[in-house]
Amino acid sequence: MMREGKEGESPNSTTSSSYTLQPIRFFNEDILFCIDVDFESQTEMKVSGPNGRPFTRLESIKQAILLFINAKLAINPDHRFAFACLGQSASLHRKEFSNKVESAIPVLRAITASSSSYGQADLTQLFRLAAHEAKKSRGQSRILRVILMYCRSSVPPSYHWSGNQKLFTLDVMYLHSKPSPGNCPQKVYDALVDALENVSEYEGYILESGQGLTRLLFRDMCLLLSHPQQRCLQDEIDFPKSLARKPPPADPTPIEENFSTPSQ
Amino acid sequence: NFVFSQVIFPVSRKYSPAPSAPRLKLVCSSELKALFSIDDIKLPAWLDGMCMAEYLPIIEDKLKSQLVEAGASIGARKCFIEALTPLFGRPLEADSMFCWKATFFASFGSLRFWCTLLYQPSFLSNNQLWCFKVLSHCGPLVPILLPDQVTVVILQHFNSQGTPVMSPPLIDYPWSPRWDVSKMAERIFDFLVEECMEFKKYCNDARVLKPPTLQQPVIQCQRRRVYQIQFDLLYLERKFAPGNLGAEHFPKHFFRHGGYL
Repeated sequence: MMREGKEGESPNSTTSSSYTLQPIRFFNEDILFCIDVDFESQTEMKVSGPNGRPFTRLESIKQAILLFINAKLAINPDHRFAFACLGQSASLHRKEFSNKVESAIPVLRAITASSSSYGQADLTQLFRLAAHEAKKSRGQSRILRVILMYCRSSVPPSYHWSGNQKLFTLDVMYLHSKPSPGNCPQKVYDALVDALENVSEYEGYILESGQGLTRLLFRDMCLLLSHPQQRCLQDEIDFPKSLARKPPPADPTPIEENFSTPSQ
Repeated sequence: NFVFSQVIFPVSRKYSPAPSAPRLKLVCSSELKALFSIDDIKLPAWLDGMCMAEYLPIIEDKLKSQLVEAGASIGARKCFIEALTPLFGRPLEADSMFCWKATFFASFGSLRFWCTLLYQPSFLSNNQLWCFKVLSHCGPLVPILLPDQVTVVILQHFNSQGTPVMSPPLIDYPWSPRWDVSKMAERIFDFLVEECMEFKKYCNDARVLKPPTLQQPVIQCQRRRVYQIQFDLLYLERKFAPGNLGAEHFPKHFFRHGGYL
């Protein structure tokens, strides 16, 4: 999924070559969260809250978003956030972008899951909204990113998107159930990858988990903190690195020959 | 980008043999402000009988050397960020124009945290500050020290409910202006390994004031760690009195998100 950055700089492809910080013009982000509110977002995770009841996917997603916002603002207080929901189609939940955590909290609380399944998930409206907002963001020297939090295991998303419009970056966090005869998470995943490749301006990341563990969700949200203009290819992500003590250097004295065991 | 000088010539009623010195002020464009602080430039003294034609070249030379120095500083910060990447991975986000800050995501056992390296040029007037903040949903925030520059370490942790906890400033990391960037990066790595363990224990001691809800209660830190600054004073631009640098030395905006100390 090699893609040129907006400034004409190609992404750093790196294996053993060292990283260089390219002196490109840096834009702050407007990040639009789009949260799937289908019935499947009420599926329980494997972790319980303080009252003993397991968290639902939607609750974990809200917590993960708050964590993300706090972290992103601590990294750079000029990033901003807005919210949309995805039912059959997308609708804006809070359209003004804001960098205040306090204003995000009531918005997130107000998002509730549907009590039944939507038959389809059409991302076209989401992309139209995002393209519209992206033009406004660009006018303020910002770039737009959509982070789609998707929860359905049997409904691959669909979309109609014309030509080469790549005005915003798209990231996807996909929470799903384990594959079974009644669902098709792989098909859903492939459809999400397809959308990402067709629509995303900078390298978009797609992360998935069927394990129901909140710590994995939180960890993956941290990967999404990475700024689209400075990303490497998803396959080349080399963080988080472990802060472990390196073992002391090996003893340089040669191994004695006597240790070799005679073959029987 | 521009710098211009505002010159105000006083006009007095009575005639005096030599005109009095004008008031001079330098103003620069906002983009240049990101590079260095124009207020830090000390304007040369106006000598009696001087005129602007003499004075302006002096200012120009001073500005040129300031810019060269600022450019070299950018280069030094850029090298340092790049030297951290073999140990910490690519940064999540870095200031690519002036290299004021970079953030990395690392893990320590089950703790995951991210570190922001922050350079605050107007901090402590004359003193330049590198702050390597490590944010974590289970880990510390650590600032680091670069040669000639003061760094402050602040730990920030998000617990499993996503609640932020902040620590008081810590200032006892190893550094030396004689170390090259990769050695500095290694030392910081080692320091962080130690700090992760300490901060984990520290967070376990913290008491939650309200039950965790989506209302983001702040965890009150119960202990305050204050350290002696161990600097090689010969290499510091500005000398610090031995003793503790407590929180009152830091501007309030430094502790964003309502962190308690």
